[in-house]
Amino acid sequence: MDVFEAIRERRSVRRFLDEPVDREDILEMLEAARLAPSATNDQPWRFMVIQDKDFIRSLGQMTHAMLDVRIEAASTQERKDAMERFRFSNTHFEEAPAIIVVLAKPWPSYRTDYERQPHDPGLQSVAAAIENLLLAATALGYASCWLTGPVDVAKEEIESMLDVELPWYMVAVIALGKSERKYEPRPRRSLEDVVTFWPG
Amino acid sequence: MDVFQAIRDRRSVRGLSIEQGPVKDEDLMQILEAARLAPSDCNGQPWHFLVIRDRTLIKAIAERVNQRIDDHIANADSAQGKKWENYRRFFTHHVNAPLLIAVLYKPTTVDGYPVHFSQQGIYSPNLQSVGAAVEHMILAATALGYGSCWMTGPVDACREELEEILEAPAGYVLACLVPIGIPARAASPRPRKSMEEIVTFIG
Repeated sequence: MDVFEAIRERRSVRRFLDEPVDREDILEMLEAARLAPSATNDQPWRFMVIQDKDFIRSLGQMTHAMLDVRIEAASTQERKDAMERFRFSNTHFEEAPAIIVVLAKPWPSYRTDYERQPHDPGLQSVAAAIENLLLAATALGYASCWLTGPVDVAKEEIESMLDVELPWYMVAVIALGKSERKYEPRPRRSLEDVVTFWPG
Repeated sequence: MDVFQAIRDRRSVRGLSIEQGPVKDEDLMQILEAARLAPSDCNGQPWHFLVIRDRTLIKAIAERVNQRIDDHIANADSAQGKKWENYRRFFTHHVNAPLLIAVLYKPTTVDGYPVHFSQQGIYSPNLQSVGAAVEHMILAATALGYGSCWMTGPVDACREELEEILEAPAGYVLACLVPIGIPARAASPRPRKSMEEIVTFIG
């Protein structure tokens, strides 16, 4: 598939058919991720591919349980309601036939005084790898969704269930599967709104 | 160009020069359109792209980074100073590029405050979204025959000063600089970790 078509056709899909994802196809997607650029070619990424449906469900259950804890602890009803509204977007991966939990590690800076910066080069690199993976999935006829909600809700718990060890930490979950529906594109800000030309 | 080919053929091209020719307007618009269509957290599209063709400004950015590297070297021990010197060319090689895109983003906020260093800062959803947009931009440039380089080094050297020079809109942070131009020669692929090293299959 043409790269511009893949970019145009990619959608965030949250409901999948009950069909497994072919291992060969997953390997092609991972190869796309592996070739992403990274700051100082550090390649600060790892991918945990999970196709065991029971295990995916148990990760989903953990996310539900931690969301319940957080809602319980929230100080106002308004906050509780807001968190409840995000329940599906945080947990829909539980019904996906395959998920990939994406791990990052801190980028090794040449600066001894380095603290994590708001432009964190390592995280930008991992995002490039994830996007390559999603474009590859699109080209191979799969639907996908890039979730950070489960990280918001149950980062430590999921890391523990996956035996993630330092310096690695979880940054995202990718849900993968086939979709019978073709979704319309979501609205986008116009080019005029997001671009400034210099000189104008 | 096929998406897998674009992913395989993409290279970080350093030392792009306007002498090789300009970036055509219609190509630039395709590159920006690709960035615009990237996925983002809650569809927040937390990005802004400054497209710079003003040569004085492109040079001023490189000049400021050079000065800051001089300062870092003056204030560092010799081992650390040597590292800064080695990185100089990686931080300033955009100086002759025909086009530079400065990518700005709005950090993820919790209760109205930007999170850089807290729990959410380490996996910042908005920075992930920006990374997707930059990757789109770079794949589009590759497909259109251009070289590019995703530079975070200049931002490491003096982010806040560059934001000032670039007149970054309030609330936006500089994530990276991306020079784009026609490459003078083909670059070879860099080494990559093996699949075994980066992937674990469960079930």
